[in-house]
Amino acid sequence: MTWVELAPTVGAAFLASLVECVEAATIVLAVGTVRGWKSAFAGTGLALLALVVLVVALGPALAQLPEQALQLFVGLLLLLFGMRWLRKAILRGAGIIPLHDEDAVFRSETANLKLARATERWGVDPIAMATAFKGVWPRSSACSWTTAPWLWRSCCGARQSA
Amino acid sequence: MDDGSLALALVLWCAAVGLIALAVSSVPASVLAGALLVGCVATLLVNVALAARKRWTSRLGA
Repeated sequence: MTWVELAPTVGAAFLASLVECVEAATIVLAVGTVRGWKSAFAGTGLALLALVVLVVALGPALAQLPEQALQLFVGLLLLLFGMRWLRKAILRGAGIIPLHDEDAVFRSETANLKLARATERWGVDPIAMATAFKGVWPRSSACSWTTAPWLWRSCCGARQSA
Repeated sequence: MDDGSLALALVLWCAAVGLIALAVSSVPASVLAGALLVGCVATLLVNVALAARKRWTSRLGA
């Protein structure tokens, strides 16, 4: 595959992941600032490790599924995610619901973390670790769901052209 | 009007178009594709309009 063929795929996957990445980074930043960086990075690492395990375990199983059924399932998921985001964007643009404010999210997360009592087990703060995990895990999963079809398309394109 | 009702309406519309495609094989794929697109956009717009009306009504009532 050439970069001309690859660039739209990589660009679309990058843009789809960027929003989730910023949201996850905001939560990790809040956890690290209030409860310590060690626990924040431990939770982040654990979430990424869980994602890698899931992808490695379930990735090869995708090849066993019928291609058309998989295309239908992924297409339906993309349609539902995309329409949901579009709905939110229209409502935010019209001023019906407030704009997404990362500063407000940071302030809210920081205030919640400050309220929780400081505890430490095995050198890490479980509350901080769980918060970082909860912040990173769903967003990284969403990234993998949104990028998987693009990667699938690249692989299918490469396989067909080979 | 929430995300759930939008998702349900979209799934039902996709299923309806899929059933029509299976039942009436003479319908061209381009017509089905057009119907799928127009239906999804219409579903989105109706959902947004109803959600906006509901929120404005609750704001005015408060």
